[in-house]
Amino acid sequence: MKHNSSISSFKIFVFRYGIPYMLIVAVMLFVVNFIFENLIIAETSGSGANKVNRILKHQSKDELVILGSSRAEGSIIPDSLGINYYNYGLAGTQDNIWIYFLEEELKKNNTNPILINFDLDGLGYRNGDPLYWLFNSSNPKIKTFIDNWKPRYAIPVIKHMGYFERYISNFIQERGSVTEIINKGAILETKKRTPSEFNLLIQERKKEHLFFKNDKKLEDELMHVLHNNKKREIIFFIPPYHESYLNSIENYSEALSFLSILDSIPNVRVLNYSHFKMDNAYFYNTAHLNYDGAVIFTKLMKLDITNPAK
Amino acid sequence: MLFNSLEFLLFFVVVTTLYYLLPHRYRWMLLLSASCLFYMYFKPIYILILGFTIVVDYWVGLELEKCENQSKRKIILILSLIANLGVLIEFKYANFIADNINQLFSFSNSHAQIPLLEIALPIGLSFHTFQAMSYTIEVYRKNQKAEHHFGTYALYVMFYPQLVAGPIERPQNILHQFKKKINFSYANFKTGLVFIFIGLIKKIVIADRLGYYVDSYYDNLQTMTFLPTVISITFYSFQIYCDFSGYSSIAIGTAKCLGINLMKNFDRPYSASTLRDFWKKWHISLSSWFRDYVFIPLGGSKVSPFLTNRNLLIVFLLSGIWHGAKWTFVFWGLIHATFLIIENITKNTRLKIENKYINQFFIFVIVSIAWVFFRAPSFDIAYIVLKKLISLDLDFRISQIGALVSPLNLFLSFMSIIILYFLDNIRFAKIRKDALLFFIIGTLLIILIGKTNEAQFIYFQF
Repeated sequence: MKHNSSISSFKIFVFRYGIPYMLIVAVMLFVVNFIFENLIIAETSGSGANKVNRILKHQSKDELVILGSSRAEGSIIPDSLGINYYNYGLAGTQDNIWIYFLEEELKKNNTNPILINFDLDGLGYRNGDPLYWLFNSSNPKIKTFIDNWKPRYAIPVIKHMGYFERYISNFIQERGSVTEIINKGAILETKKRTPSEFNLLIQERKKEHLFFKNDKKLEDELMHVLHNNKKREIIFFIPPYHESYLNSIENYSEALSFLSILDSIPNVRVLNYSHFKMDNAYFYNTAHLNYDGAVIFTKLMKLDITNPAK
Repeated sequence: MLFNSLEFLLFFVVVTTLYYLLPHRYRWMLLLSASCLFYMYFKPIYILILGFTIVVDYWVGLELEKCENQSKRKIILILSLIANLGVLIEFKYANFIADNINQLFSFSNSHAQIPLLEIALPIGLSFHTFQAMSYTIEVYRKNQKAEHHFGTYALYVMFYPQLVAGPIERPQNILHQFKKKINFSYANFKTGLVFIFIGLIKKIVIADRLGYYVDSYYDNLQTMTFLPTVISITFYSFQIYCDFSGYSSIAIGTAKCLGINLMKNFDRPYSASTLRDFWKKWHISLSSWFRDYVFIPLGGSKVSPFLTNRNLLIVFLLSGIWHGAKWTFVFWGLIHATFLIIENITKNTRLKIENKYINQFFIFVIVSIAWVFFRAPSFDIAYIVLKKLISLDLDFRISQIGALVSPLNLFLSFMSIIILYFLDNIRFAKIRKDALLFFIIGTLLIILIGKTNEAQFIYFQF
């Protein structure tokens, strides 16, 4: 008898607290989710989440996309190239990501050229920050890019747990940063290094040994995409690197050979500026240009990409 | 299984529901199986260590009850202590002892080396060992009857809410509760959930947030200046408090939802005006364990002032080594012992400050500086931190003040300390009335500003 009253008391608790709690929390989280996804993420062009969402869902016949890693993100100023350019560079990622972006872009009804930054230590895999992918984690392919997948990433709202402040941080930074300029997805560093700080970076770089990895699976995937592409010009570009960075690549000649293979594919053009001499003052570090460097490089690129294709 | 994981949420819902659906006579089986599962989630094989000490102490309890001969009883108790402390020494201190002996060898230019063991520390070993020891000691002292039901005794050691990080319970408080028929109580369950929510907020919203700053400070120590050092030391004091009291709160709440009352483990320790007061409010179950089983048997404070202070020193050195097999923990204990002895010696002569906030501030400063030795991985690191503290090297760049973490994190860290103030001053009668609102606000805080790296609780390593 007492056992039964215990169960009915438990039921009353569930109805009086459990169900109202779940309903109210669900509604509030739905509102929060709506605000974040539509007003915060969607209004932060420099955030990776926005770029992933945009490459998947934004349909425009006029857009000219720039793909790649942080070197794409920080080296090219879309508005300086033209009005329809958009920088989809994602910091912390490698070639597997821009190849996926390229595949998505080629599905669109657009005939404009595609610009791709090619890293001399490619072709390799790196998925970058989970923050980029959570917004679209219901997409099966996107799911594979989330390192250390957790079941909660499949639950709406809860999947963003722990990342909300990052979205807000990015949103605020885009509007009030004193060390970065953000322009249509590009994040350009305005911070100037002192000569001694830069020398330290050079010394650090000299200790490193980098390789052109040339992962065969990725190479095959890329070749398949490039050879099947009949309608759009694809321009690979290599931004200027600091000399110390170039010297740290052990098999630089293999990277050059690969670039000439790319250049021989119809509809593909390679613009290699890796040896373009720039003063230390134009670099953020040995691998990335700063804002001033990006201004010069974008002007240079603009001249070259407007030249007729081969 | 971590309390701050989705797995535990599911575990809690299933176990609690089954608990109330099952008739009383089967509940111990459910709780024991759930506790085994909970423990084995970390490293299954280590359940054998627990099994060994449970069997030994169960047998010791029965033998102590049967035996009337005092010297025989003493031998039986010593056997139990050897078994429990033996396991603790083997798994926690063997490498520490070997490492120190090896260092002594190297000082004497000897090439002899004791090989180090490649074993991981079983989670919560110090906690359940102390809880098991308190049973045999209490049975020996005839304060507690031996438990004849093996399952109930095993549950006393293994009860999952407090298995890996306490509170370290006494048999008198908890054993009888496992036998009592418990009906679902609306008020109890609600209070239990309030405790759980407080614990989760303390861990996920406060401790892990502050830990993010502190970790960044220690990871970039060489580049840090005075201000981030002060902030980091302060944050760590709140981090460790929220981490541990958060765990205790979840443990107490989980048990309360099952109708079982665990002892209070924290009582707003940073409101203490003396160090003695602090130790009455911090990790109460361990402090009282040392008081009852070490300090008082040594003579406590009913001996000469010199011996009282010696007893204090012994207790705090033991407390230091209990926390971890490292000299930094011993030094942490030594700092506390030293200040407690100074407090004792100057009790009647020192200038009394009437303002309690100034006293609280002084105690907070002493405790926080002692925490540096708790957090720093070595004396060298602790030395660098303290050197930066006295350097007064002021650098007001936001990146420096934020310890290279975003300014938003710094802002939320300070906000989280304000949240702590409210949590620690909650009036349970009021919260129980507005429980639904509290649960909703708590959930939103956890989801929206919680740090969700599912970080382990600091005290798990002990």
